[in-house]
Amino acid sequence: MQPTEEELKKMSPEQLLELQKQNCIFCKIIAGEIPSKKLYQDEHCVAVLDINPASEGHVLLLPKDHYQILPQMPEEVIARMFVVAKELSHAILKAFNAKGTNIFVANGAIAGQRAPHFMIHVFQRKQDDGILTIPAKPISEKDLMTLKNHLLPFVGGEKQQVLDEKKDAQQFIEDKKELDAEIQEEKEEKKEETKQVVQLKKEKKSEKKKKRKQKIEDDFDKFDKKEKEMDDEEEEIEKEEKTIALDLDKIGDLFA
Amino acid sequence: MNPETEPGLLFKDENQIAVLPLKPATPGHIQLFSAQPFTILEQVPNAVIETMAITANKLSTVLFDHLNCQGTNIIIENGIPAGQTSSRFSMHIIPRRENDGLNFQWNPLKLSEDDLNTIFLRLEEFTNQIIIQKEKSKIIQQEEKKTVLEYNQENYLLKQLRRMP
Repeated sequence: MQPTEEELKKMSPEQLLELQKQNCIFCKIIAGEIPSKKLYQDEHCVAVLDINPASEGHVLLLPKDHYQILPQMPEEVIARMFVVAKELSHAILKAFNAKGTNIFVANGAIAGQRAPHFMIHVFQRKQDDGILTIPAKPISEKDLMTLKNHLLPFVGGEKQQVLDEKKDAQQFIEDKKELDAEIQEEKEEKKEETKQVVQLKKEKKSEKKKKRKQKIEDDFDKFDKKEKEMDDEEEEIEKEEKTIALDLDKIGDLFA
Repeated sequence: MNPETEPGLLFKDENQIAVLPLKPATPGHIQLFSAQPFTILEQVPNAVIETMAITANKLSTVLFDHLNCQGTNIIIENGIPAGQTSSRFSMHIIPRRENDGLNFQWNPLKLSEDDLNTIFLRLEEFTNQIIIQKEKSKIIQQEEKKTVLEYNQENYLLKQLRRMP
């Protein structure tokens, strides 16, 4: 007998789960209360042929215990079920001479889960049958990096240092403007410095030239002076000779 | 193609590589590749499938908790008619939200009871042969090798004995 809405609200989650199990079609199939075509069975899971298949040979793989979605299941059962799914896919490929299979899991009604009992779908595919396609829509690299940085800490990685939000981008642009202004100032300063340096060099050159000129002139002056001195000396010597000559003449006259 | 070189690389270990593809179905779509270059599901050893399945479950919970989705899909495209586009085996983990433009529903075929019976019998032949063998641990494999060597050595000694006059 189905409980009324009031009774449902009063029930605890455990009681609700029990109620779900009692009404679950697939639990009944597993228990054998509803007839089904069982293809495989082991201690964790059961495989059954789907009577509303996507293609010929559509298999539903169910856990023996009642679970709704994948996160509720113990790791051992998850691992075993995916390995069995691989074997079922291999069997389907051989039985129907198919070239492709899909393994499909839906967690949640919005993902396409049609029953409250967790299941893995395994079905064959033929070229261009249009049963299931995963679209590929391009995404900007910036969005990709935001997603990546958002998920990395939960997946065990370190965040990358990349711009990812508009705020950071604006800040970067402002910082860049300041940087540009600074760089321009530095350039101008450097220009002035170079000008000054060039001027200094010019001045130094001109000074050197002047010095050289002066030195040469000084040397010439010295040389001139020396010449003059020598000329003066010669004159003096000539004068002395003349006086000596005159003196000798006088002495000669005396003896004549 | 080498998934390690993708810009959307999330994490990598010895068995698997998780990547955010450049052309996702929806933002948050993760593609989990095997680290070794297997092409199709049948080539992948059971131990690797087990680790990848557990990781896929963990990634779907991460998406559920932190990317504000109401459900997830886990899809394996095995073979070209199934839509496989990369040359390496991968599992798709796709977050689902309202009005995301994705639709993975199919129109079921209407088959008669006889058709279903023939399909069942055809499949049963092959599914009856499924045995999930637990892979032997490496220690046991080494011990087996040792016994074979010892046996061969014993044989050699016996042969020597027989040759002696």
